[in-house]
Amino acid sequence: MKLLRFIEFFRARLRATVGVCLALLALLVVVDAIPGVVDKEHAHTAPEHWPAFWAVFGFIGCAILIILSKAFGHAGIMTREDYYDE
Amino acid sequence: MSDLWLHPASALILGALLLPLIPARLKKVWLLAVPIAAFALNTIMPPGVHGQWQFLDWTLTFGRVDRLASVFGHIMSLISIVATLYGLHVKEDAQHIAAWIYAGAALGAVYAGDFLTLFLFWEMMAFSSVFLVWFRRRKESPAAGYRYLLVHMAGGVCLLAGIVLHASTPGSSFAFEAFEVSKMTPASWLVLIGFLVNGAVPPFHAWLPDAYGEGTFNGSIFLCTYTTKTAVYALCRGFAGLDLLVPLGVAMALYGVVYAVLENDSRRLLAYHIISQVGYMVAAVGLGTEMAINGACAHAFANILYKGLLFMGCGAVLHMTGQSKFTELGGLYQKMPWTFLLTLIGGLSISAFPLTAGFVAKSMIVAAGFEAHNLWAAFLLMLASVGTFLHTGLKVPYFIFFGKNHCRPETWERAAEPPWNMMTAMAISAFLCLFVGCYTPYLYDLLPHPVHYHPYTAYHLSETLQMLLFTAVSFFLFLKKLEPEPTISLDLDWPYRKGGRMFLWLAQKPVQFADNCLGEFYRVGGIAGLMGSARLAGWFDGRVIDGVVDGLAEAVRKLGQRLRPVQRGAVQENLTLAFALGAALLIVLWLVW
Amino acid sequence: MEGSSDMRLLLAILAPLLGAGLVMATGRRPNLREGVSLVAALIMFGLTVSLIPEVRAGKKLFYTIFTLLPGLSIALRADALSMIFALSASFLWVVTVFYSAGYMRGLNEHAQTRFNTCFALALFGALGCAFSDNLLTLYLFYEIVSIGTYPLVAHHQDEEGYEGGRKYLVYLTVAAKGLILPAMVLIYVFTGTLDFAHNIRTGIFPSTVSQGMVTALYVCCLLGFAKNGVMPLHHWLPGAMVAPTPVSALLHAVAVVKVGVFSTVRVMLYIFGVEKMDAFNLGLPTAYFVSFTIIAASVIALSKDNLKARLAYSTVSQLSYIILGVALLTPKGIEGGLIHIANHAFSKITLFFCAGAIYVATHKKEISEMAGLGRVMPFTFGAFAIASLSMIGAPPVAGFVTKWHLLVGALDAGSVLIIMVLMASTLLNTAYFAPVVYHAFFSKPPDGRTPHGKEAPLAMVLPLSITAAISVLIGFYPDFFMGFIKSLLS
Repeated sequence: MKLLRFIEFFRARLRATVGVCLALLALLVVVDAIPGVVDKEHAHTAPEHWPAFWAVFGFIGCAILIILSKAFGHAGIMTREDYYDE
Repeated sequence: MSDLWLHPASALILGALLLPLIPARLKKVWLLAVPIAAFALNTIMPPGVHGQWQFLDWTLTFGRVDRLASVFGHIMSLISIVATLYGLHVKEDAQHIAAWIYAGAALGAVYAGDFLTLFLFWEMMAFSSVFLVWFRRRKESPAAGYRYLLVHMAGGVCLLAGIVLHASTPGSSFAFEAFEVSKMTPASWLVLIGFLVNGAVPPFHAWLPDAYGEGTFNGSIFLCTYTTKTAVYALCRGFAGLDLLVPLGVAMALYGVVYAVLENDSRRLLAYHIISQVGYMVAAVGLGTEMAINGACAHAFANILYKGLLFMGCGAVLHMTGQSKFTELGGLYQKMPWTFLLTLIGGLSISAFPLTAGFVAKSMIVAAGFEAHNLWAAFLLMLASVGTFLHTGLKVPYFIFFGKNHCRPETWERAAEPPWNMMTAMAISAFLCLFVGCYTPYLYDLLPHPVHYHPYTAYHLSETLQMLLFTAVSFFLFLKKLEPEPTISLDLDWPYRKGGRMFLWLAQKPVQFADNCLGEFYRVGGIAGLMGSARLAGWFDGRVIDGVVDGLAEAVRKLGQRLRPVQRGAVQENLTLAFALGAALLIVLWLVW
Repeated sequence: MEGSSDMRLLLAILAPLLGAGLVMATGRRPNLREGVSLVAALIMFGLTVSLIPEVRAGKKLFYTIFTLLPGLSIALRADALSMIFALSASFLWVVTVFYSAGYMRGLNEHAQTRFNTCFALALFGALGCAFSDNLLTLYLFYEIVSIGTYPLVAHHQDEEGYEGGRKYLVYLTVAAKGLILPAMVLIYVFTGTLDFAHNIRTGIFPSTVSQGMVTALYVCCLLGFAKNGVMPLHHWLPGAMVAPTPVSALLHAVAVVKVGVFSTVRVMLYIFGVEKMDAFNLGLPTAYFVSFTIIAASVIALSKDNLKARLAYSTVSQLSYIILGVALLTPKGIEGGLIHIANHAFSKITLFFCAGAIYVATHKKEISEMAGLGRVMPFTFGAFAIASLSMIGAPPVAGFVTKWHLLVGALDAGSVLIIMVLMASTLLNTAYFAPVVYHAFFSKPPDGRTPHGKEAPLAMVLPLSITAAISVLIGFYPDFFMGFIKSLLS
C-alpha cells in the first residue's frame, strides 16, 4: 500500500514534518505582508489590510468556536445517549 | 409541445418501477444505465416550457427549463449516478426503487412550472425518502422515520395551505414564479415555511440530524442531496432578495457549526453540517444579487459533490466497521488509507481549500456579501468557514482515522477498504471536486447569471490559506478539549418528541375513556327507555285491548296454527318474506290507486 | 315535471331484491349461489351504467312506484348526485362478491347463505336510497338498510356479535325513528310535500316557515341520519366491527355509511337548499360542528391497536369530510364533499379488504402483531399503503382531489379555522396510518423468526388491488366523477 507507507513515512518523522509546516506558515504570513505579491485592493474593510489578519482570524476564531461550543454543550445541551429512550 | 420531450425524472421513476422485473444477471447493468439515462436526458433538454397537462381546471407544467432549474437538474442527475454506483452491491431492490423515486421526484420539483406540480413532487419526495430512513432497520429506525414523515407532512400542509391561499387571491397565477418579497402576505409566509422546513432552516431543522444519522449507509447519500437542495432551489426561485433570509442563513451557518463541534456521531455531525452549509445558500438567496444567486447555485452544486463524498467516506466506515461514533473509532488509517484520503479531499473541499470546488463556489457567496456591503454577514460566514474546516476538515478525518484508537477488537477486525464500487464512487466525486475547483468554466458556464467573479487572485489565496491553516494550528493546540464524548445533544426536536409522547398518552387515556363512556350511553338511554316503553305498551295491551280483541284472537290463533309450518325460523327467509309481502302489498295498492 | 319516466330505475333496485330471493333458494349449492349474487350485482351495475349518458346530458329520469297522497309517494329519480353513489355502490358490490367468497370460504364461515342474502338486501336498500325522489322513499330504504344489515353485524352469533348488533340497531333505528320521522311529518305539514327539489339552491321550504323551525328540523335531520357517523351518535360504527370483514368493507365504504352521508347531503341540498342554509346561517356552524368529529375521531384512531377499530374511527373522521364540504356551501367545497363520496368509498374499501386479507392469511387483528408481515404479503400491504396515501390526501391519489377542493372551498367560505382543521387532520391521518406500513415492512417480529404465512388467496388480493388501482386512477383522472358534480352546480 503505497499510500499507507506514505503516511507512515510522515508519522515516523513527526517533529520534522511539524517543523516544516510551521515554517511554511510563517512564510505565508510574511508573503501576505508584501503588497507586491498579494494585492489587497479588493479588500472591503480596513482590518483586512493588516498583515496576517486572516491568520489571526482563523486562529482566534477557531479557539472561540471551540470554547463557546463546549461551554454551550456543557451548560446542559449535551446529555446521556439514552435520554429519549423510555 | 410538438417535439418529443422526456422528463429526466421519468427515466428514474420508470427505471425504479421496472427494476423488480429485471433478471438478476442484468441488474447491475440496469442500476447503472438508468441514472446515466436520466443524466443524458437532462443534458439534452432544450430550454423552454415542456410537458403541459390539463388536470381538472388547471394546466400543469412539468418541464419549465431555464438556467436556474438546469444547474440544479444537472448536478442532481449526475449525483444519482455516483450514489447508485456507491450502493451497487445492495441486493434489496426496494432500496434502489425508493432512492430513484426520491431522486426523480426532486428533479420533478426542480422543473415544475406551477405550484400544483411542485406540491405533487414535494410530497412524493417526503414519502419516498422516509423509506431510506426505515430501511436501516435498527430499533431506532421506525421512530426516526416516523418523526421525519410527520415533520415533512407538517411542512407539506403549510405549503399546500399557502398554495391554495395564493392561487385563490384574484390576480395571481398558478405559475411558480417569484413572490413579491417586499410585500409578504400570509400566503407567501406559508409557502416560505413549507420551503424552510424542507431546507432544515431553524427552528424547523431538527429532523435533519435525527433522520440523516439514521439512514442506511447508501441511502444517506441520496438523503443529503435532494431534499435540502430542492428547498434551496425553491427559495432561489420564489424568495430571492427576502431580507429575513440573510440573518436566518448566517445564524443557521453558525448554529450548525456549534452543534457539529459537540457531536459524537460522525454522520450526525455531517448532518448538522448540512444545516451550516445550507445556511450559506439561504443567506445568499437573501442577499438576492446576481452574484449571490450565482453563489447559492454554485455552492449547492459543489456541496452536493463534497457532501456526498463525505457521507460516502463515513458511510464506508460505517459499512465496514458497523460504527459511526468517534468514541468507537480511531486509528483507522492503517486499515483504510484510501478512504481516509478521499474523505480528506471532501473535507478540504467543503472548507474551500484552494484547488477544490468549495474554493470557487463558497467564496462567491462571501464575496457577494462584501459586495452588497453586508459586512456582518460576510465576516460571520467566514467564521462559519473556520468552523467548517475545524469539524469537517480536521475533526472528522482525525478522530476516525488517527487519534486515539477506541476501536474494539471486532471493529478493528472488520475494518478494511470498502468494495470497488464504493471506492470508485468516492474517487469520481473526489475527482469532480478537484476538477470543478481547477477548471472553473465547467461550473461557471452552468450558472444562471453571467459570472464576474475570479476566485484565483493572490489575495483570495492568501486569505484562505492563512485562515484555514491557522485554524489547523488552533485545532492541534486544543486537541485535548476536542476529545469526543459519548453524548447526544438536545435540540429543537425536544418539544415535539416529548410533546408527541404526551399527546399519545392523551389519546390513549382520557380521550378513549370519554369515547367509551359515550358508547355505553345507548345502554342507559336507549335500551332502558325502550324497555320502559315496551312495558307500558304491554300493560296497555293487556288491560285495554285484550278485552276487545279476545274474540278476534281465537280466530287468529286458529289461522296461525295453520300457517306455522311455513315459518322455519331462518332470518333471511323471514326478512325476504316480509319484503316480498311488502312489495306485493305495494303492487296491489298501486294497481288499485 | 320535466323528464321522463324510466323503468330502468325500478329494475335496477329490483335486481338485488330478486337476487336475495334467488340466493336463498340456491343456498345448498354454494357456487351457484355466489353466481346468483354476481349476476344480480352485474345487472344492477349494468342498469346503473346505462343511465349515465342521459344523466350527463342533463335529462331527468323518474319512476313513480305509487302515490299515497298528494305530495306523498314512493318514487325514484336518477340525477347526478344519485349516480355518484349508485355507481360506486354497484361497482363495489361486484368486487365485494369475489372478495367475500374468498373470505367466507377461506375461514369456513357458517350461515353463508344468510350472509349473502342479507348482503343483497342491504344493496337493495342502498340503491333505493340513491334513487329516492322524496324524503319518504329515502326514509323507507334507509330503514331497510338498517334492518337488512343487522343480521350481518350479529353474524358470528356470539356474545360480542349480539352486543355489537344490539348497539348497532338501537343507535340507528332510534335515531331514525326518534328524529327523522317527526321531522318528516313536520316538513310535510309545513310544505305539503316531501319531494326533493330539482336543484340544489332553492330547497322546498316556503318563506313562511320560521328560521327557528327550519333550524330545528335541520338539526333533527343531521343527527337523525346516524349512519353518517357524526359524533356523538357514532359509536355504532366501531361497535359493528365484530362483523366479518366483507361486511365491514361494505358497511364502511359502500352501503351503510354512504347511505347515511348521502341522505344527509341529499336533505341538506334538496330539502333545505343552499340559499336557505346560507340565509339561516346553517352552513358554517355545521362545518365547525363536524370538524370536532373529524379531529376527535382521528385522535381516537391513534390509540387503537386493533386494525379494524382504527379503520372504523378513520371512517368516522372521513365521513365528516363529506358533510364539511357540502356545509361550506361554496362551489368548490360542495364539489370536494361530493367527490369524497366516491374517493372515500374506493380507498376505504381497499383498506378494509386488506384488513380482512390479513386476518384470513394470518389470523392477526392487532397492528402490533403485524410486524414484518409486509414481506410475506407485499400486495396486500402495498395496496394498504396506496389507500393510506389517499386518506392522508397525498397526490396523485384520489384523496388529494378532495383535500384540494375542500381547502379552496373553505377559503371561499372565509374560514381559516376549517383550513387548520384540514391541516391537522392530514397530520393525524399520517400519524396513524404510517405505523401500520412501517411495522409491516420494517419491523422484526418479536421472537426474531421470519413471520409465517403467505399472501392471501387470489379472490381477495385481486379485488383489493383493483380498488387500490382505481384510487390512483381517480387521482390522475377525477374528471369522470367531477363531470357529474359540475352538472349539479351549474
